[in-house]
Amino acid sequence: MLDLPDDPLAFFDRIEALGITDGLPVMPPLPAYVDAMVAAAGLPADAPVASVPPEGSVATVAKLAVSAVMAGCRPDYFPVVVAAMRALATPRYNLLAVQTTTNPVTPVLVINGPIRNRITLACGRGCLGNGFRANATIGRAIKLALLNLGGCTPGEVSKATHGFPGRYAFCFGELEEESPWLPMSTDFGHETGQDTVTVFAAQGTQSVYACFLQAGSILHMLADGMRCYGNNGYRRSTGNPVVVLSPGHARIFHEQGWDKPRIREALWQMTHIPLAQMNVEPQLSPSAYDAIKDRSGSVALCARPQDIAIVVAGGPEAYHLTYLPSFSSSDTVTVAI
Amino acid sequence: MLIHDPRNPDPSGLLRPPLLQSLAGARIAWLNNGWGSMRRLGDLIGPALRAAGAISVNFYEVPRNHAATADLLDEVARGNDAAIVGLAN
Repeated sequence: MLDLPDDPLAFFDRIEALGITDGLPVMPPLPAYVDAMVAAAGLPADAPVASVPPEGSVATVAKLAVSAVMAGCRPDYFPVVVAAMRALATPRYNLLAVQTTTNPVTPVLVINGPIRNRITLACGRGCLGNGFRANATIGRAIKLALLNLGGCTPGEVSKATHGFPGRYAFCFGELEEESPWLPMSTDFGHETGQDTVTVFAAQGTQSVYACFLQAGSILHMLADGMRCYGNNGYRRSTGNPVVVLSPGHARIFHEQGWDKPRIREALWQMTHIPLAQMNVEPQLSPSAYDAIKDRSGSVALCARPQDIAIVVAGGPEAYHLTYLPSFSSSDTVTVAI
Repeated sequence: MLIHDPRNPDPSGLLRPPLLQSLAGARIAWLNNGWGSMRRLGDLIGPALRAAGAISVNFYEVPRNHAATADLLDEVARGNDAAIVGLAN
């Protein structure tokens, strides 16, 4: 336990001095608040959830509850936080790299299933932005746990050259009710109606204003927004880039006969970059395409079309799309909540 | 006010780097993670560790862009007393 001042400003100063906040004020993790959070998980307080790199400190249910309280979560959000930490700790997610790289990457949590509505998680207009408690505090709870249990101090252990604002919190839900397709979680092997959290490793957001009426034109513009060989995905054609379609765009695709596999295949083909357009000179950190002698071919954004994730979320109008470029050194993981 | 500490205690000191002298007589694993900078550091620090009394410094390659496999970690654990792991790049 820590003995801290009751005065809010003095409390914040001490929290900052201890290095246990993200730069913003936190809710005090009083024992009663933490107990309520633990009770909501339905798990023993000392149950281990994950080992958090790089320090390898164990995230028990109780320790995660402390971060959840600090972040401002309501107890009914807490099962999402626990599940997200389990997903992040899955070895193929490669959390050590996400925590320590120079890339700005941060975990992105996408929630499917009825729990979205029970906890009023924003899935529609503005869902990637500010203003929604469940989105903001679930994402923030994970980041506080990664800081305080993983020892991932920004600028010291985290070597992100710039980072990006999504590192405070990045969590939203799929707007399943307005999607013409099955939920994204079914693409990762889960049943419709199952509460799940999917964790991606994204290095930012790219807005694409594609207000065409024809699916082919929308794809053409979207692919143009994705086709940037400075994005990590092109370095080795790995990772899981994410496309966030508005419900309006999803409807256009659906009405014109485009399902998700067809969209993925088209995007994968359209985002290949000809090697002839890439510089051939030494890099501080070589990319796989540097070694290709025959420069007549092209480089793919990711290994396979099915590696492109598609999620439907946001406001209804078919104006803006959002693209989340992949960190590439991490595989997406989906777990049940 | 009394609040919970979000961190874990480290009574064993296992989360802190060991003193160089404590590695005397040890077999040390160096896990290259595919980055040139990590490999170059290994080239520099490996001899220094041996000069400080390490019996051996054994180099391993973690698959680029992925976490180490369980088989690799088992091999490292069987053949070494301590391991040095790179933090990304």
